[in-house]
Amino acid sequence: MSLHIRKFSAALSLGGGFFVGIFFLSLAGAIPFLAITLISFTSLEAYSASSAWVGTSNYRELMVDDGFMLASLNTLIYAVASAIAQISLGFAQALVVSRWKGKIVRVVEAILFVPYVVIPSAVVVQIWKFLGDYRVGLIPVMGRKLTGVDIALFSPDLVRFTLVLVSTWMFAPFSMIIILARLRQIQPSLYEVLTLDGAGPWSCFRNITWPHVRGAVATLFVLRLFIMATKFDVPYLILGSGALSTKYGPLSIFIFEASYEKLRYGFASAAAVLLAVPLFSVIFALRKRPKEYS
Amino acid sequence: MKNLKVLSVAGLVVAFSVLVWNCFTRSEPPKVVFSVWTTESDPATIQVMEDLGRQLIKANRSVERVEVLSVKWSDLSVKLQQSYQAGRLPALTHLEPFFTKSFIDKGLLLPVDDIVREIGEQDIEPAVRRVAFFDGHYYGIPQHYGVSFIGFRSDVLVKHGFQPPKSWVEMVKVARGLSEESKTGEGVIYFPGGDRFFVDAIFFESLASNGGTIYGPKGEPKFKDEPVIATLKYLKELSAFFPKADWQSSSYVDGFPRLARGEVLINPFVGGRSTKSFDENWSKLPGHLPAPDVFHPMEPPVGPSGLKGYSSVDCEPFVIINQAKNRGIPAAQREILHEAAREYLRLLYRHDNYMRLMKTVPIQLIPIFRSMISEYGEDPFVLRWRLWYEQALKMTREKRVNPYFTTRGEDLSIPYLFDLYGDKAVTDMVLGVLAGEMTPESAAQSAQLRAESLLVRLRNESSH
Repeated sequence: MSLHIRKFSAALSLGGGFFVGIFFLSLAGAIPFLAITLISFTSLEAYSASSAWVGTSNYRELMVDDGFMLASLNTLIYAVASAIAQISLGFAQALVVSRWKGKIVRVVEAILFVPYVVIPSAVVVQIWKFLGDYRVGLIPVMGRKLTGVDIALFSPDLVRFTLVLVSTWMFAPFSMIIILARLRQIQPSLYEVLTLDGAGPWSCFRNITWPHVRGAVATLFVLRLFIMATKFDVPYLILGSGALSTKYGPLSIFIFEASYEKLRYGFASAAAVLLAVPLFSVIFALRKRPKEYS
Repeated sequence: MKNLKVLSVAGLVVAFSVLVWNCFTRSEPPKVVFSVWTTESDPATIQVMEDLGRQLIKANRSVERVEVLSVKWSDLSVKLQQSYQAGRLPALTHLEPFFTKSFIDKGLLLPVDDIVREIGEQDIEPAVRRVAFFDGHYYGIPQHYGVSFIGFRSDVLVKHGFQPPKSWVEMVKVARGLSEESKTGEGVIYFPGGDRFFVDAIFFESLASNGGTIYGPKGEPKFKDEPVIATLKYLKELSAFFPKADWQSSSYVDGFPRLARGEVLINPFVGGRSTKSFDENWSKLPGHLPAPDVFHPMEPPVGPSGLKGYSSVDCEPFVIINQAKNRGIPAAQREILHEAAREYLRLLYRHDNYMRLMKTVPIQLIPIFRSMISEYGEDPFVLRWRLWYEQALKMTREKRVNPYFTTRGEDLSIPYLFDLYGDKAVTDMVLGVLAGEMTPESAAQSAQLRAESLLVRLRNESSH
């Protein structure tokens, strides 16, 4: 066999394998969504072998359901606030760490990364419940001692903030790592040149740092928005099943309760589709934007 | 010679094939993995149940392995649904009484009349005997019964000159007095607002103590009746004495240590298992009195429309799952699992095994057999906490206990109980009032409308 033919065969195998992989991955993602969409047009319930086609009945019911509207608003607030907070904290951590040199940097990075990779969500929430315990927790006790203010992290007044706080503590390291990788690609000489011209820290940030990382930040924002919009474990563990979950629970809890407490799989699937549609719309909207960032 | 070689090889091949055929087609009964779910979480209880599993394996060669799974009661419904979808329902499981009718209607349960007769039907405490009795058949047997209590710090009450209240009016007076006397500003009554199951339970207990119900004569929802409104008003009055900072996120289990530490003085819903927690927590705190002299149960105070105080009774029945509904189980194994479940129940209710099981969580797991009550009462822990035990027995014998989500025994026959629980109409009604977002009247109206919509939807779906 000639060299050209062998090369062509190898390329075909690799390319073919790649596309086959992509095909099956797409199926793995698409099939569940298609199944959920189909179920959303039925009255499927728990323990039922069959169900009736009900058309858009589930969707119409959701549009007038106060609980769904409230959960949607809670999801928007939680997702946007968490995404912004996580990226901000991750950015700050990355900026600080990027200035350090030596082996200590790796140790600090590892420590900062622990909440994200090592500690399960249930343990994270327990840690914060202990820290925020109104009577003996470090935060309320120090808050009372230092400021005289009562800080009840799990009261209705502050629980939204607490949700974002705990999520940020847990997931900011992911943003830190991504942004840190970008920061380390910036040539130090660029800062030297600008500094020699008399530029201050803000000018360096605006003219060098930000242009290099803004693409990563934009991607991170979309990614974190998606993930936080569908987050279930942290909100459920913090809000419980009582008063707070009814008022502040996001759509993930609404869907969970619709499925497993109301036993209405069709209704819950419709809510899941309505959660997915705006998220997909964001993806399509971003695809259409001109590529500003390299 | 060549022919001989061929014949020899052929003969060997045939012999080998026959041997292999015998190995793989010998008819042996299929072996099953027997799965039993329990809502008990105490490691000692699980150990006893696992030991029962070992006894089952010895008695039944078709059982290869027994898996005992402890499932938190609030997760039971979720897990059962997931298992149903996966075709992995257990053979035997605990169930809440108010799920049972719904499960029977779906064909998920098998009758256990024979087992009930074998273990002594008339010896079973009448108050809990028929929690799973429908359409003339027993579909489950309560594993135990455990009465709920209003636990309080009697040392603090006595110190401030208060007696346990007998009526709602007295309860509010005591709470107000304790609140002023204690000066903690923290709230004196614990409320598990983060645990909807217990929000519902406290409401139903209070409603029963006020002579009320949310179910009409034909089982129709009746949220707007006066006793219901009065109950909501009463709970709203009590909410002034809840810990303001975090009652809405408080869980049921946190209530025990907080009562033990004196952070609250009254806990309206503690189970018998709380006595274990009081013992453990109290021993870590400086105290002059023994724990049983400090932590007392209160008789449920009576509402203005009621005659007697009522408690809840935790009496989850063991039920045998109809394996024909379990898609993942081959037909040959179904009957084996049904029979293994029956054998497991016979082993569980055998005197020696049963008493061992009940004593793993004294006061919470009270034997259902009246003939065992005296023997159980001689357990040192039960003797130590006898006030609680005696109150549990008294309330049960006087039939002043109701399964969760009911105010009368016959409520369990209402077919939409499980759906109403899942809808959270009761929880949202109560919490809406307690959080100050709705008046009792508007909350009751909202719950009534939700319940009626639920019934309309259920009727429409069943007609399809």
